[in-house]
Amino acid sequence: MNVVRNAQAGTLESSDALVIVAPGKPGSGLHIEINSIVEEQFGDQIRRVVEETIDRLGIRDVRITIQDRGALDYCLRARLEAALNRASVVD
Amino acid sequence: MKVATGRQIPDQIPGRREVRPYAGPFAFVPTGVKAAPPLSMVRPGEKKVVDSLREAIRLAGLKDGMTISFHHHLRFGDHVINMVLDTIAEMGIKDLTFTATGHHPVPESFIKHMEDGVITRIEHAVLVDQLGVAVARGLLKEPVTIRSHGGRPRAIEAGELPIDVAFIAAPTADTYGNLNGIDGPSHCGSLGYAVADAQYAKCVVAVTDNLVPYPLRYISIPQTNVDYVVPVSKIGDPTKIATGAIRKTSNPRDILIAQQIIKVMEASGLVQPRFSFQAGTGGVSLAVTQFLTEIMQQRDIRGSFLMGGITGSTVGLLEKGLFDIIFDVQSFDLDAVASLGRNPNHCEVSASFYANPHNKGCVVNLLDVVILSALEVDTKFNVNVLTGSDGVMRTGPGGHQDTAAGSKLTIIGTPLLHGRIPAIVDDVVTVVTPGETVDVVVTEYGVAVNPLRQDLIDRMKDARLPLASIEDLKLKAEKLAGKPKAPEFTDQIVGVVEYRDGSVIDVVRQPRSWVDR
Amino acid sequence: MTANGRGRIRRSMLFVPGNNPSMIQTCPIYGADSIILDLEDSVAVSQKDAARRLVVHAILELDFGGAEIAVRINSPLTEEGQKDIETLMEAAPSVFVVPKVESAEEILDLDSKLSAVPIGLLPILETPKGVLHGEEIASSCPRVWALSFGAEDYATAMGVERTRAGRELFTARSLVAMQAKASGVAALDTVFADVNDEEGLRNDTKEAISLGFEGKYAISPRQVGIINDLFTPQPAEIEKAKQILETYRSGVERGIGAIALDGRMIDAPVVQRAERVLALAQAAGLLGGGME
Repeated sequence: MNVVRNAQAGTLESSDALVIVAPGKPGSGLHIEINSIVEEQFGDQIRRVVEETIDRLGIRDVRITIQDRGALDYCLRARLEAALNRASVVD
Repeated sequence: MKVATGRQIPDQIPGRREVRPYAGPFAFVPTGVKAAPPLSMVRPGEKKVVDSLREAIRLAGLKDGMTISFHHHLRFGDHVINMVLDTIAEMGIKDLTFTATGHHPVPESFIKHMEDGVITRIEHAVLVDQLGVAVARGLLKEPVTIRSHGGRPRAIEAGELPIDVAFIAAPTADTYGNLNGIDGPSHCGSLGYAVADAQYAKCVVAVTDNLVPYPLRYISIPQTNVDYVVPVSKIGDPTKIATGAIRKTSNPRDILIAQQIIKVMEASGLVQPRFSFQAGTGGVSLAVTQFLTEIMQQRDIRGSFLMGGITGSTVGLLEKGLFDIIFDVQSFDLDAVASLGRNPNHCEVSASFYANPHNKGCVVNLLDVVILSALEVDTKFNVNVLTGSDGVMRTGPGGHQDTAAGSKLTIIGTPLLHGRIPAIVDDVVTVVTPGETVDVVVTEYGVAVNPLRQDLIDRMKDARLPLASIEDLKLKAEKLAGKPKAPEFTDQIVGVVEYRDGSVIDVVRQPRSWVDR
Repeated sequence: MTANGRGRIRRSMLFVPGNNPSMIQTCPIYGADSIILDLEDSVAVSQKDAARRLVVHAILELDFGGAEIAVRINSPLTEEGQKDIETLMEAAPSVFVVPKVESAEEILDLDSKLSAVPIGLLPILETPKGVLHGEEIASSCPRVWALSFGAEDYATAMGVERTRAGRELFTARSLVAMQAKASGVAALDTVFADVNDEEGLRNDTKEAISLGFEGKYAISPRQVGIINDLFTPQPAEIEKAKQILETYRSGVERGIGAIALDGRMIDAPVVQRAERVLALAQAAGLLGGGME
């Protein structure tokens, strides 16, 4: 999977998250910005979910912004995948 | 030292004379006599109406280091607290202790008065909005004392919370200082929480936007307690005081929890003639009240009294003849305000009458069932209604401790998760209401009965209720949401949680994440 | 799994919008026998892709308790429907609810796509043509576990107004139930659209029961309890069913040819009905045992 354009998925409703992805320059790596109502309690966990998903999909250089409204892990994965699919061309 | 819930608290707490650990809901027996306000005299011909707030504050003799008090019946529509604080700040008075009876608005200026040293201590208030954060940042020299609705008048009457000047927002006042909350453009209904402040403060200043000729027809706080009356243009924003009817919930999860609560109440055998009941104003409570109406009508049961935050739905029960009396310490909507003004069976009562454990008998002792909410409940049934899971104080205990201790059946209704935050945990951040006074926890995933109440467990089993252990509910919550990172604290104590009898049940330490923010 | 899906109790089947995480993660608490994660009508066209990801992860990661997990896909005749099938196969829900089915070919085509994946099919007949082909659709392949009726689209296709009494649906509903029974599968009834009309829902459900339906779709969690209650047998019926089965079993053990209870013959259909009554009672938690 190759991120080539900006895209987003999800909503700002309660228990959801809005995930915005943008392609990064080659070699720039993974940039994550998390803005969550439960950042204190679940910030690390959200970061872990993002890193695992990126890793699983073999994506390298990407900027990810998450506006989280208390989404559970399954939802974060789904929103992330949807945003990445929308931003990508399949190799 | 250790309190009866098993928590450790420090032997000494800054700003507190004595640290008496919580030892059980009725372990402490008070001795001695009540505090009293000074004797005073008003001669014939002397007037109480004062032109300006500034003049009233001067006449009240307010000085650096004193304690000022406020009530919260105007809720988020209150203008008086900030009007008074701004005037005090202009007058250059500093180092005051602030106390309020409950939720009130906290604008930027409030925090600035704390930063500027106008307010340096808080003796009970509800730390909403930025106030909780300001306290978490360590803005006060001494910890805030947190008390229940019964514990605060107890402390006043016991002389533990001496008030120099009480400022009373009065929706209506006559020229000789009789006050009520049922008339006037900023009407709020009951003034029950302000009563102890009016009776025990050294000086009482009423602030009103509806000054009427003497005498007032309906008196909540009498002239015998009031020193000065200050007319102002506006004491509050009526759209934020007693708003239109509080609407019933359509959230199916809340309705499900309410249905289970009703089943628990029925199974308990307490829903009988002369039954007494208290519920809050949240969605679950309102739905419970609605279902209870149907059941009482079907079974032709007439209860005795209703209590708590009074709304149109509570008033409906009274008007349908399902209950004899409403005891009203706080009116939450315009239906409740109107009813208080016209229905003699809708009775305004003080916070001490409602919930003070150290008088000659408060109403919560006669309560059959109370429905309460929670931020967190732990596997020992201890309840937190004070601190968020980030450790910041964000709300207040209200009558939680009082009704839980007094009623025959205490039911906590809560969703398993608040957003992503589990409501059932191993250990609550702060113990406000001790587990030994909590009987049943109802969630959408099952009903947990306190093992101390084997009698209830037997009854619930017969009623086909979805019983679960509190540990099962905790595991379910963790499985859904994951385990939240526990907040880290410094050693600095920013809050002291009193039990209703004046003992210390827990302390709140400064969350590390707020140091130097 | 494909075979025994036919006998499953489906009193209430709750539709849950497939792009709404809040509703998806709370839906197991309402006691629906089946949960249908919806990718069709409740999802905006622009969000179909996101809903698919959400539904896949929900099925793989959430615990739906004892409920059957179904997904309503878009019609397989559409591009979205094809993507649904492709994507959802990885999550393998128990059932696909298939909208607007009009012919056996559609089902056979879907059956071949699913090949070895053990997913059952619940076709919804919601056009006049679909309703008239119910029997061939129901008997087209063993994956078809039940036939169901969809009133909204049917009424639109017929060009008639929906009424509270529902006379305009009577013939179609009866036909769907009859064709299901003729093909040996269960019949499931349409949703009742007005979520605030509890009495209307009760009447509509009673009507469905009288026509031979064994379950009903629910559009709101608040409908689930009412539907479950109405499909749950009365205590007297349960007692009778227990007696019938006891008498029958002891008769079989003793090798009696013609078994009778209170002067009435107990034959195979009587036994089957009694077994179903007990299964419904079990689903409603009326047979004792666990509290869960």
